[in-house]
Amino acid sequence: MESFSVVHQSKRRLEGEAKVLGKTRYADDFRLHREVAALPLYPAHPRAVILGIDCKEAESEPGVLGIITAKDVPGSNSLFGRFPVLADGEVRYTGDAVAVLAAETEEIARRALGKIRVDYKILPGVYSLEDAQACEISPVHPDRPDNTMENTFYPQYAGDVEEGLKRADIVLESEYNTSFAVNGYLEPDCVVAGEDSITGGIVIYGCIQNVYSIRGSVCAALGWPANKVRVVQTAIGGSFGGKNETAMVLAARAAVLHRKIGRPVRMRMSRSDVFRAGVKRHPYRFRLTVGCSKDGRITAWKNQVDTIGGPYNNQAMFANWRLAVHSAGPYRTPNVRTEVQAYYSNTPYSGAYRGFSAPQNSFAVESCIDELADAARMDPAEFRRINFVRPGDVITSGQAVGPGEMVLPLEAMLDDVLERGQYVRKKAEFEDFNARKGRYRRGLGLAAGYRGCGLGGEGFDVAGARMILEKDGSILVHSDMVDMGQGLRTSHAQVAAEALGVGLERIRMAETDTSCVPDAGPTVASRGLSAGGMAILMASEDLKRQLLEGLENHWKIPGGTAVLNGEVFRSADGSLSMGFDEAVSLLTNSKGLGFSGRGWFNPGTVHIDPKTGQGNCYPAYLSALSLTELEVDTFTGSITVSKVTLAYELGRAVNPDIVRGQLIGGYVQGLGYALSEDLRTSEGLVKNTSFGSYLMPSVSDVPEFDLRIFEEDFSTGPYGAKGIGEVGVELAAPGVGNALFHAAGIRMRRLPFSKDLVATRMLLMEKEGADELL
Amino acid sequence: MTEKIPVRLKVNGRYYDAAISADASLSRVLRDELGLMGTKEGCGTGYCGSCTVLIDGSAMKSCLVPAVTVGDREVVTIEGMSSPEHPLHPVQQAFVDAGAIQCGYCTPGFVMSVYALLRMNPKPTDEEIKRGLSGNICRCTGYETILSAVRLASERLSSVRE
Repeated sequence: MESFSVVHQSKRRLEGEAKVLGKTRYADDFRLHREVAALPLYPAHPRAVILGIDCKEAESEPGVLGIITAKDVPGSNSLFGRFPVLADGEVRYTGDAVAVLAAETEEIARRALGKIRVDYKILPGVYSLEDAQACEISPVHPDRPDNTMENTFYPQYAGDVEEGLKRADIVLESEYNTSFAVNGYLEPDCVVAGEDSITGGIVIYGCIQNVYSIRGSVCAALGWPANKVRVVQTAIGGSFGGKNETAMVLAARAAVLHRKIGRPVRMRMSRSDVFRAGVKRHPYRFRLTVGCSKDGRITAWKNQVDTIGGPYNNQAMFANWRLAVHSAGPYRTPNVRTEVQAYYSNTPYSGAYRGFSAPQNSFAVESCIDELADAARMDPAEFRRINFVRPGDVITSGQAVGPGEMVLPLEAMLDDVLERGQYVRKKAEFEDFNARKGRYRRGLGLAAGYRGCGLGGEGFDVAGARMILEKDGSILVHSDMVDMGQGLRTSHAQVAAEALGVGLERIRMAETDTSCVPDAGPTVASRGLSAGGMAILMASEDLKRQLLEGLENHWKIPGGTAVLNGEVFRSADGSLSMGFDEAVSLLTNSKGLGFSGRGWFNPGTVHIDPKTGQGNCYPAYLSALSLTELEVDTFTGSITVSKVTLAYELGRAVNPDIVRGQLIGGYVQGLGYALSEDLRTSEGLVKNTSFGSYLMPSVSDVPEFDLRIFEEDFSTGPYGAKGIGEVGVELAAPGVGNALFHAAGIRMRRLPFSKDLVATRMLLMEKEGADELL
Repeated sequence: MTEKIPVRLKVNGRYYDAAISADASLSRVLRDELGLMGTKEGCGTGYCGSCTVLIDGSAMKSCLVPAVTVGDREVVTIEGMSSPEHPLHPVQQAFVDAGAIQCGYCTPGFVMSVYALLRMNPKPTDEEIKRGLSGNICRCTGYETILSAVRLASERLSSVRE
C-alpha cells in the first residue's frame, strides 16, 4: 500500500490562528485613505416604470459627494443574465437599485437617500410560478412573452414512461413544493472600489466568490479592457454560492461611482438588504407521477419540474441541467420522463446556494420513494434496496455504474446505516411507543442520493494552477479557487506538499488576486479541490520534474532516475543524495535557475444529448445515505432531530476533519431548510428581513451524528478527492420528512415543516382519524 | 450633522477617547473609531452574536449596546484575549485544536461567549453549553466541533486550576 505523509491526514487549517485571534481581515475590516460610503436606493415597488428621478435635493445635502443613475453607466448596463448595474426605465424586483449615493459617512448617505425623489408608475407583477405560467400579466421581459427563461428547459427521457405506467400495479401522483431559502452567510456582502495606485486603473476589494467573473462585469460596466481592472478577494465570511451576482452588481456600481467622484467607494450591505436583494435558492415545484409493480419494482417516473428564478437568468440554466440529470434518483428506473423549466418573475432572484437544485430534488425524489414504498406496503429500506442501481446497471441518464468514478455502493451503505442506526430494534420500539398515542411521537426516516461531481455538462470544468519555488525553498502556489471557509487552502497545500515530497510548512497559498492567480474557472459545484487540486497536483509534478532533471544533470546520471521523497533527492541506487534546501540553493542560486510549475486540468469532455438528457453527464458521482431519528411534539408541532446516522462514498478524504466539517455543517444547514428557514414573499416583497424571523439552526438544534465514510480509489481527483462541499446539505429535508411520516403519519409535501403547519396537520388528523391532506 | 458626544472607553485595559453620536453602537465605535476590527457585525440587530464582547466579564452583543452607556465598565474584545506571553488563550487554542473554525466570521464572538460561559461555569454539561451559546450563530460548522472545543477548553482550564 502506498504511504502518504501529508494527505489523508487531518492537518490543522492554515489560517486557524489568524481567525481565532480576530486578525483575519474581511471586506469591511480595513479602510482605504479618504474612502466614502455608498448606499443604493432600492425601489418602493417590486415592479414599476420609472417616470423620473430627481436627485437635486439629495445632491445639495452637506457631505453628499455624488449620485449615479442608469445614465451614468459608461459601458454596458446589462451584465451577466440581464442584471442591470442600475435600473433603466423599469424596476423588476426589490433589489434593483434606482440610484447609488456616495457621502462622507454612511449616516449622511442614509439620510440623503430619502431625499431622492422617484416617480413610479406601479405595474402588476409576476409574483409566483402560477402568475408566470398563466401569462395574464404583462411578461417580465417583452422578448419572453411566456416568461420562460432562455436555456432553462432540460429533459431526461428514458424508455417509455406511459408504457411503464400502464405496466405498474401501483401508480402514485404527488406534488412537492420547496421554498426560497437564503445562504445565510454571516458576513454581509461588501465591496470597495478604489484607484489602482500604480496603473491608475481600478482595484476592487471584496468578499467575492469568483474574482474573474466580477472583473469581467466591472470591465463591461466601465467599457474597459481587462488590463485596467484588478480584483482582490478579501477573506470571505461564508458564501455557499451566494457571493456572486450580488457582488457583481455591487462591484459594478462601486466602480462607476468611484470613477464619477474620484474617491474610493465602499458599498456595504445591511443584513436586511442581503435578505431583500441577495440570492435565494430556487423554489422548485415537482409534479410526480410514478409507478411500481406490486413487488415494489419502479416501472415509471414522470416528473414535471418548474420554478421561478426572479427577473434575471443567472443560474437557472445550470441548476436545471443538474436537476434533470438527477431527477429520478439512484434507482433502476427503466422509464423516465422529466422536464425542467424556469420562469422569469418579479421576485427576488434565484441562484446558487449550496447543492444547486439538489436539496430540492432530493426532497421530492426521496419523499416520493417513501410514499411509493408505503403504497406498496413495503419497508422503505427494503424498497430502496431492491431498486438501487448496482454494478452492471446504468443510471437513468445512461452512465454505467462501475469502479472509481461511479461506485455507488448504496446497498452496502444501507446495510451499514441500518446496523449502526439499530433500525430494526428502534423501529419496533418507536412503533410501540407511538401506539400509546401520547403527546410525543418518534420516527425513523431514510434518505439516499447520488451527486454528479464538478460542473459536468454545466460548463467547462477546467482548472489551472501555478507554483513558484522561492530561493529559500518556500513554495508559493497560485490558484483561483477560493477559500470561503471550507478549508480549501489547507487541502490545496496538502496536495502540493504531498505531490512535491516536501513538508506542508514550505507551502504558501497566494492571495486570490487577478494580478497573480490564473483565470481558470469558478469555485463552484464542489470542484475547488477535485478540479482545482488536480491542477495543483499537475503543477507540483511539473516543478518536481524540473528539479529532478537539474539534479540528474548535476549528478550526471540518466534522466528519469532520481527521486524526491521526504525532502531528500536520491539517485536510483541510493548512492547520491541531497537535501531539499541544498538542492534548491544549488539549482537556483548558483546556477541562476528559477523554477515554476504549471498545471492545467481538464476532466474530459462530457457527452450529452440535449434532446434526451442521456449521456455521460458528470465525470464522477458520489453517494450518500442517511437515517434520521426524531421526536415530534404533537401539541406544538415542534420537531427534535435526535440522531443522524450518515454514510458517504466520496473517493478519498484528503483531510478527514475538513471533510467531516463540510458534511456535518452541510447537514445542519439542511436541517434549517427542513424545519425553520422560511423566506416568505408577498407580492414580490420579502417579508422576513432579519435573523429574528428567518430562523437558522442554533447550537441547541444539533443532533448526535454517527458518520462513516466509505472510501474508494478514484484516480481523476487529487489523491482520490471527489468534491464534498455540497452533498452534506441534500439528505436532511427528505430524511426528516420521512421520519415525521413514520412518527406521526403525516406526509409533509412542502418545505419547511414549520411548527404551526405540523401542529395543524396533527390536529386535523386526530380529529378526522386520518391525514386528510394526504 | 448630529452632535457628537465625547466619551472615554476602557477597552482591553487601555483608555480611548472618542467623539461619537448618541445612537452609535459599541460595535460600530470599536470598529470605526478604535480600529478594533476583530469584533464582527453580522446582523446589527442582536441575533447572530458575531459582535459579542465582554463588558465587566459578561458576554454582551455589542451591536445592541449604545456606546455612550458603557461608562467606565471594562470592555474586552477578541484583541484582548491574547498577549505576547500568551499568544493564544486556552479557549482560542481549543478552537484551533478542535477544528472549530471554518469561515471564521463567527469565531471571535463565539470565543468571547465561551470565555464568559466557562468563567461562570467551569465544567458545564452539554445542555449548559448549548444554553450558554444559544445567542451565537455559526452557519458553517454545524456546531459539532464548537461543542468539542468548549469541552476541550473546559478540561484544560480546570486541569490548570487543579
